[in-house]
This record gives sequence, structure tokens and C-alpha cells, in this order.
Amino acid sequence: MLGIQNVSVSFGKLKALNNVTYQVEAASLNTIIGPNGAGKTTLVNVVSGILHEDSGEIWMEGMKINAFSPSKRAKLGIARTFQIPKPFYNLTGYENIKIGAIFAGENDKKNAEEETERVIKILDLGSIVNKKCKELNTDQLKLIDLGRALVSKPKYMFVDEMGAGLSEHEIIGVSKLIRDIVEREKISIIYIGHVMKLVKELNAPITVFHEGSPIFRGSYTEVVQNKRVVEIYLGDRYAGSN
Amino acid sequence: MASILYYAILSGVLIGLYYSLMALGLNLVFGVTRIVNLSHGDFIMLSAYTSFWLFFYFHLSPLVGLVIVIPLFFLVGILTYFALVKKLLKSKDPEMTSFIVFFGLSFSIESAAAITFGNSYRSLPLNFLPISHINVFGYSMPFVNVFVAILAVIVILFTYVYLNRTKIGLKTRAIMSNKETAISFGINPGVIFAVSLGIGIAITAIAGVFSPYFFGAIYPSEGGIITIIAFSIIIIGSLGNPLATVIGGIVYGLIINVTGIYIPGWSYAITFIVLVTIILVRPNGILGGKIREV
Amino acid sequence: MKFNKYTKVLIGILVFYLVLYLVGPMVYSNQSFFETLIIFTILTLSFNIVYGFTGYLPFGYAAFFGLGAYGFGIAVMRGFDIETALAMGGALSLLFAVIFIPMLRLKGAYFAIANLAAFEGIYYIFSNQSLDWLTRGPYGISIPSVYNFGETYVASVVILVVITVLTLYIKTSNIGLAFKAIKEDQTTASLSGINVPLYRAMAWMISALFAGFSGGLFAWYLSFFYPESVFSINYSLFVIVFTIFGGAGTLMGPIIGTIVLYSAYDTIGITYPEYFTLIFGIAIILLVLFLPNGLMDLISKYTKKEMV
Repeated sequence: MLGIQNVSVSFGKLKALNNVTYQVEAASLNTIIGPNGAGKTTLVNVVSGILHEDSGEIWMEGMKINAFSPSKRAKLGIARTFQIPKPFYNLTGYENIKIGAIFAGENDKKNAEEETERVIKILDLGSIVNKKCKELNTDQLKLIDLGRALVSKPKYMFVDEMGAGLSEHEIIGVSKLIRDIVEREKISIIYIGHVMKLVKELNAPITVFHEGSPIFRGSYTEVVQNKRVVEIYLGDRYAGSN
Repeated sequence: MASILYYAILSGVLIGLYYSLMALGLNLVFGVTRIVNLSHGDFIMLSAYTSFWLFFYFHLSPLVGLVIVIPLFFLVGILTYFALVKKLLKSKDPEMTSFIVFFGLSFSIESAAAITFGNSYRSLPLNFLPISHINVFGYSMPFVNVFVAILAVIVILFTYVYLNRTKIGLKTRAIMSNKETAISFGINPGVIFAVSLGIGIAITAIAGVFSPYFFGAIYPSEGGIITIIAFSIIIIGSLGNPLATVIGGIVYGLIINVTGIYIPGWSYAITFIVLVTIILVRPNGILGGKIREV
Repeated sequence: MKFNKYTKVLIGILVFYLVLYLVGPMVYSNQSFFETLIIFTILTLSFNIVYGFTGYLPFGYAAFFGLGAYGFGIAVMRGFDIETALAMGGALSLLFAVIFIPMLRLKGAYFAIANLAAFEGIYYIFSNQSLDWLTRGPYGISIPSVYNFGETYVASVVILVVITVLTLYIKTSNIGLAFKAIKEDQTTASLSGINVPLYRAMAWMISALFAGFSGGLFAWYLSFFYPESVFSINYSLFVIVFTIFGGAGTLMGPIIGTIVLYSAYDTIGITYPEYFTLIFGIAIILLVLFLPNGLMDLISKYTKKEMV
């Protein structure tokens, strides 16, 4: 299990996370939604280690990991992707993923290459991996980012918005991919989403964040029927929809 | 002993105001363009030499030199924008590129100065001022220190008024706060950068005219140390916040003077230690907020 | 050992060194030119390890050179033998590098300034009258008894070969990959499992160590120097220009950059040092604006091959 307990983070006067407690089980699929500024990305930043919490504790498999550096957490099994990818632009997609395999995945040279090939296959990246990342578009970079996260053999992976700009058909494909990864690789995925079609498709427990706190937990149906959630985020279009 | 300490404190504040003036231009330029002018001290040196030669050849007092130097260096600032800054802002990593460009510029200016002016130390007399000393709170202070301190306050006030009460100052603050947003509001960054560089260098030139009285002499390679002192002051105050420079300057003046009493000869070393310590412990300066680091 | 592109390049460079540094002095009698060239190449290759590989640009880099010189000089004055003295030159430089490791946490502007300030501070310490019982302060160090050009030359070539091989090793190993990642994006590198503080400190220390050796060799070669001769910010300018001109992050770049530009400096510059600093100053501005990736990048674009 991975979780945070009473974690608070402030940027000056802005409270990005307000005494938040949140946890996920191993090999489970979870979703977080909420308006911009609700604290979703801050949550991921704190758990992955690149942002320091002002107070509170972070636990993984019974171990308190507050003091662990981002690289140590990556090796332990916490991975995340970015909403706006930050790859090594001057390196190829292959190299970007391989670095993850070598360091976070702690593989020797030969295994690192095998792991990289394996992830490339899962994500069907064969056609783009040999290009330098500065030549790829955002969608392709998001997949490379996902590849980098996957190759580190994570136990828990935060996936930040994969559904933007996708068609109905592609959304079903992404949803299947994510569920496959959870089942086959036994990875726990926490999907952070804005695209409600994809959230619906994933059919996982949803936590709604608002102004730095989780305000509601439930299934998709329960979420879209909840008055408060509709009011602060979804709007009438989703109210009462199924 | 106590009397010397009070004198040192008072003198430290006065001198500190000069140092604030000296660093003000640099902070303004950084705050607006996010460019670190590593050749800042060399502009001080150039202004000092200009004032010196105006005195030496035309017998013009530094006060007159001041009037000439201000518009002259304003133009130099604008020229610097068009010749260098505009181009480097378009490079892949403008911040890093700006360091290297201005580092190189520093060497160029210093060697050009050494070639043109020679390496001997120059100085300026004080006889352009009506009196040599003045009584401040019961202590006899060199008038030049008081005069320059007052001048510094005037320039700092001018900067405050410029930034907060004029239309162009408002646009400048917009750019300082968020360049992209300011541009989307229709503010032309090029104009603001050019004017800010002009004003920044002009302010620096004002400090340059009086630099011989605070650094002892004028010589081509004085720029290096001066740049570092200026940065110490800015970082003590707050990098990017021009008015906070006053705090940095006064703290610096106090450190120099007070350590001068107790451990003479080590004042400079102390400043470097203070600077490096502050950068490591609280990089955003005394007035800045805390920063989060990986 | 695999006989691949890298081994070929290494052998090529070593042969090149053989010709230039063994045969060269027989042809061109100015021995001091070759010695200084070797010392500068070591210094530039060392600088390349921190700037070219990890992207940190320490403007105060010249401090490591001066520390190496003083470490050597002070050790000799205290009676240590040459090998130990050279080691101590490297060690003194390394010591200060370790002290300043926290500086690597700083970003951009802060790092540059802290670095320059540290340089001035260190120069100040070593030229200060009050410490002259240890450093001889402003009077400089004079150690004519150890002067031995032949031995100095051999030691210099050896250290040059070591840093060359080390550079190539780093470039082809996982360590070099980590450095590359750090240069590209420290956050992503961290999330990819790279212990960023550890690796950048490693680059910093290796770089300082060899810069210290080059300073020690310089002190040995001169046998007499003032603080301002070895603690000169000009050395920072030189290594930056040499590296950027040649191509930062490559192996051949710093080597070729140093040879070409130092030769030019030696031919024209020595009589008029200020003219040359002026030219270098302007050169670095033009280089970084118009040819930021250096000669090696230009060549690789022309030949469509990746340059080592």
C-alpha cells in the first residue's frame, strides 16, 4: 500500500494540499479528478519526492519514505508521468527509456536493453523510439514518458492525463492499455484525469479533489450524481448521466 | 571603543547607500530581463574613466561629468540591448548564454580599457565639493560620503517613482512579474528591455562617477571585484527586487565597516563568506521567500 | 576490449599525442610551448568533465588550478617529495571542491555568482599577508630546487593520457549516461533513478582533482610564481573558450580547441597579452551566439557522423 497521511503543502499563502490523507492498494486501479489547482499534481510531486511536504507522512509498504530522495523512491517502485512531458530532448526515445531501465530499474546492460525492448513492445513505440525527443510531438512524448515510468518496474505509477485530444476509439484503447498494465504487470495505477470519457471507461474508484483536499470518493455513477462535485467541477452536462 | 563602533555604524549606513546605488542598476536589469550582467563592474570602471578623462583633459568637475555621463551611458545601455541582448534572448538557453556573453564582454572591456588607458591607477580629487567634512549626529563625516548617500537616496526614490507611478514603469513591472502575460496584454518587451537596460546602465554610471572615492582608485581590472560586491548586495537584499537593494547595500556597508574595526584586512574575505553562505542557506535573499530544491 | 569506434578514436589520439609531444619538441625547439600546451589540455579536459558532461559552468574554475599550484608549492616547501607534492596539489583542489559541493544545489545565476565569489575569496586567502607563514602570501612561492623539465614533461604526458582515457571511459559508461541525463534535465534524471547529487558531486570532484594536477604541474614547471600568476580569472576564460570552440562534452573537442587556440595565443599573443584577452573575449561572445556547439558539431553535421 502507498499512502500519505496529514500532508500539507503551501506555496506562500496558497494551500496546495490541506492536511490530506490518501492511499491506494497494491495492484489496483484508481482515479483522481478535480479542477485545476485542486492539488492533484502537487500530490504526485510530493509522493514522487520532487516537492517537499511542509508536514505529514508518506508511507509505502509499511515504510516511512519522507526522507527518501526522488531517485531512491523511483528505485523502490514509485513512478510518475507528467502532464506536459519533460524528456531528455537531445536523446532518442530509446535512450530515454533505457536510462530508466538502467538506473531506476537497476538492470545491468543486457537486461536494460531487454527491458527497454519489452516496454517498447507493450506501448507499441517501435516506430518512434529511434528519433530524438525534440523531433517528437506531445502525444508521442507522453508515451515515451509512460515508457520511462514503466521500465523502472514500479509498484505504484501515477499517470497524469493521457486522454487529451483522443477520439472515442482511442480512449477505449488507452483504457484497455492501462487496465492491462494493472492486471499483467501487477502495478497499481493512479490515473489523474480531466477527460471524463476516459475516467468513465476506466471504471475505477474515483477520488475528487478540490482546493487541496479530497472531498468525495466513489464510483463514476456516484460521482456524477453528487451535487457538490457537479457544482464545483463537472457542471450540469454530467449531472445525472450514466 | 564604543564611539568608534557608532562611527563605524553611521559611516556604514552612509557608505551602504552608495553600495546600494552601485548595485541598483544591476538588479533592475536582472529583474526585467532575467539576464545576469557579469560585466557590471566594468561599466562602473568605464564611467569612472570617463569622468576622470573629462576632469583631466577638460578640467570638468565630476558633477559636470555626471550630467554628461548619464545620457551617454543610457545610450550605451540601449546599444547593449540591440547589439547583444536581443540576440542572446533567442538562443537555446538564454540564461546560460547570457553568462558567457557578459563574461566575455567583461574581458573585452577590461582589456580594451587596459590598452587604451594603461594600467596605472588613477584617482580624482575632492576639491569640487564645497566642504571636506560635515557633522552628522555629532560625528565628522567626509562630505563626499554624505553627498553621495543623498544622491543615492534621490536615485532610489526616482527608481521607485519610475516603477510605481509611471505608465512605462507599470509595463516594466508587468514584464518583471510575468513576461508572457505582459506580452499577451500588448506590452512590447523589446522596448521595455531596451529602456530598462538604458536606465540600469545609466544608474550604474552615476555610481561609477563616484567610485574612485569608495574603491580608492580607478584601474582597468577593478570590474571583477565590483561585480561580485554588487551581486553580494543584491543577493543579500533580494535578486530581482530592485528596491530591496537598499537593504543589501546597507548590510554590506555595515559588515565592511564593523569588521574593519575588529579584523582589519579581512573585510573582503568576510563579504565573500557572507555571500556564499547566504546563497547556500537562503538564496532568495533576506526579503525573498523560501525556494524548493530537488 | 572491444575494437569499436571509441577504441579507434582513443588509439588515434594517443598516436597523435606521441607525434605531437615526443616528436614535436625535436622539430620545434620551444619546449615551454609543449609543456604549457599539455597543462592547458589537462585543464580543459578536466573542465569538460563538469561543464561538457553535466552542464554546470563554474566561472571560478581557475581556483582549482591555483589551488593545485599552491598545494604543490606548499608541500615542496615543507619537504615532501615530488610525487607526494603533486598528489597534494590535486588533494588541495579536491578538498575545496568537497567544501563547495553544496554550491551544486544552486541554479543558474546563483551558481555562477557563488562560484566567482568563491574564486575571489580563495585567491584572497592565498595572497593575504596574514597567512604568509603558510602560503608566502603576496611574495609568491619559489622552489627552484625541484626544477627538472624532463621529469615534469614526462609526468605531464602521463597525466594527460590518464585524463584522456578517463574522459573516454566516462563517455562510454553508465556514469557518463547519468551525467548526460543530469545535463538534460535534473528532475527527469532524478525520477529515472539517478542519484543526482551523488553523480554531479562525482563529476565536480574528478574535475577538480585533475585541474589540481594541472596546477601542480604548472607550479613544478615554473618553480616560481606569484598568487596572481596562478589565481587568474583568465584561466577560466581560456578553458571556457577552448571547450566551447572545440565542442563541449566531446573528447576531441577540448583537445583540438586547446591546441588550435593556444597555438594561436602563443604565436601572436604573448607579446601583447591584453590584445589577446580582448580577442578571446570577443571570440567567446561570437562563439556562444553563433557556434554554441563548437567545431565537433560543425564537423559532424558535415560528415553526418557523430563525433567523439
